[in-house]
Amino acid sequence: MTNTTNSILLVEDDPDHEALAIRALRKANVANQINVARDGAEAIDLIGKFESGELPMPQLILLDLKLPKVQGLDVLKAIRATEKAALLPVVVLTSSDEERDIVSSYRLGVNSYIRKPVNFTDFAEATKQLGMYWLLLNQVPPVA
Amino acid sequence: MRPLGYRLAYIGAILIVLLNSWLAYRSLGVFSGSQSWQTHTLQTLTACEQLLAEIRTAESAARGYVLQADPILEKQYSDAVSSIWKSYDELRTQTQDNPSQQQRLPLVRERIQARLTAIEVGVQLRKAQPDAALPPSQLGLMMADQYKYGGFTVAYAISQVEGEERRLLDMRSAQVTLARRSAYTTFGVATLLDLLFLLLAFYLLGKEATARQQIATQSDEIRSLNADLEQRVQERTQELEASNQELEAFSYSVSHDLRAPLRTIDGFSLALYEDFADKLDDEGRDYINRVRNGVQRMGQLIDALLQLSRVTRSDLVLETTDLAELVRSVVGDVRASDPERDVRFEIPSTPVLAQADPRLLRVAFENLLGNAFKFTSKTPGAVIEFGSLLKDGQAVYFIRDNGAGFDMYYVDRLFTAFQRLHGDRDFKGSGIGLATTLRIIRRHKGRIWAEGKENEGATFYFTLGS
Repeated sequence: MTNTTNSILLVEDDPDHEALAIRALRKANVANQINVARDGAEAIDLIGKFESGELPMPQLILLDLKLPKVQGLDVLKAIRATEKAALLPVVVLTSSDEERDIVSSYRLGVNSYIRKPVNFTDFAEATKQLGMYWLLLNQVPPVA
Repeated sequence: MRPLGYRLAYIGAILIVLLNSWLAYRSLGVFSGSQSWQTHTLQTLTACEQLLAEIRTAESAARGYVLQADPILEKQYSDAVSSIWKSYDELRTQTQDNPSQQQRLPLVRERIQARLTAIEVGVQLRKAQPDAALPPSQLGLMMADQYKYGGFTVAYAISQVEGEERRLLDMRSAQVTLARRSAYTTFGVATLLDLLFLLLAFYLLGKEATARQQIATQSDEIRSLNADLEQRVQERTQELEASNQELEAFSYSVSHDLRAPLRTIDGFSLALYEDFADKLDDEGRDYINRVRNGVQRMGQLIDALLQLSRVTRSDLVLETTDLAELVRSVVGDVRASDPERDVRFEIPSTPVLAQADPRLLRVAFENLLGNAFKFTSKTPGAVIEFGSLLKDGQAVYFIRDNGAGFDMYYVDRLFTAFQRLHGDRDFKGSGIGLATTLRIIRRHKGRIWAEGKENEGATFYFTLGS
């Protein structure tokens, strides 16, 4: 029994940024349920549960790169190494252009980036664009 | 390599040794020549003696025959006669080289002829009358060489020849002695000179060897000193590189981590503004705006700092780059940042090629052109020019504007991070752009400098690689 919800998994260690990301999504009229993993280890746990069907698959994963314990890139690798969850769209949140360089050099199959600007208005705008695309326009891969 | 003096001395030594050898050889030649002349003279004297002896033999054989009528003696006599002429011929050939002797010989010949004729008369008489006693008057002729024609005897004629030869012998002996002496002298002098040369050569060789030894020792010292220096430089370089990397890593992570709280401040001050705007008056809203502006400025500073550290950390990849094209592309971005501005850009239409890292150089141009654009914002008829010129055979590139310029008194502060020559009120800026540009140019092993005058514009010159 598989169950997909239209939930979003947010992987973010900073509670302030978590609050701001959720605020930005809500301001962009994203009504989906938002689950939060507070570090890389927790995120990998959750992904294991999506894979086994213990938890319903999310529609989108928002992944911060700077995480305690397990780095964001390792979470990304873990996602891409699974069978089913590998097809999930992952949007990476980066603090700087340099991290984008790192990610692209790894070629880990990132679907998008949001560079988190200092200015919240810019961040909210970028989030709105992404939310629109990934949650409304993009066809989620069929889950077997 | 060698100084000219050395070469001349070398050639001189060889010439002198050769000359010595030649002199010695020549004096040997003279000596052996004189010796052979001496031998020749002695041979001539011997021939004279032999001729005289044979004449005496003929005389005594003839005398015996006349006395005893012994046919054996007659045979001896006729043998002697024939060998007399042989000897005479020999003497003539011997003295062919001497005309004065040749003049004496006919007299000798004529004397021999006369003497033999006198003897022959007696012999013929005995032959005709083998048993008769001969009259003494007949025999007297044969007893001695008494036929003096004009007072010359055979012996005298021959002694004339001998006398000349003896004179020659004396002269030639003297010549031989002289030649020997000069050969000895020449040999002695030559040997002495050669010895001196050898000694000099050895002495110089010794000196040279010592000098070389010294140089070798010194160069060993220099080498070991160099190696020490090299090692120390390497150690220092490694230490510097390590501390530099630490600093870079530090500034990078600090700037990076500073962005997170800034985002929080900005996000929540905006949330405050949005959610509680009705509870705030104008003053409160103004404060929130000021908070957000401060955050904005700090964000820009952190971005500039990050760029500064990135310039130092990233690898330098040199390739042939068209600077004019690069400038055109940057100018496009700069214009887009404020499309309303009326600025004339002057960029060469032909490629300006240089070996550079286009990514890093783009950052440099962004800063230089950004500055020019910024500082001409209050200048009517603003012109910004990119160009290149040759100075001391090296290409110098420049960005020139006719904007606010600066006071040359502060020129040394231009390229220092966080040093600003204009207040934020007039021109916004981080004070890091030119420091970043300086680093980029330095990484290209180039130089950057500026000229300017207040309110008359500024020119930034730079070179790439030497």
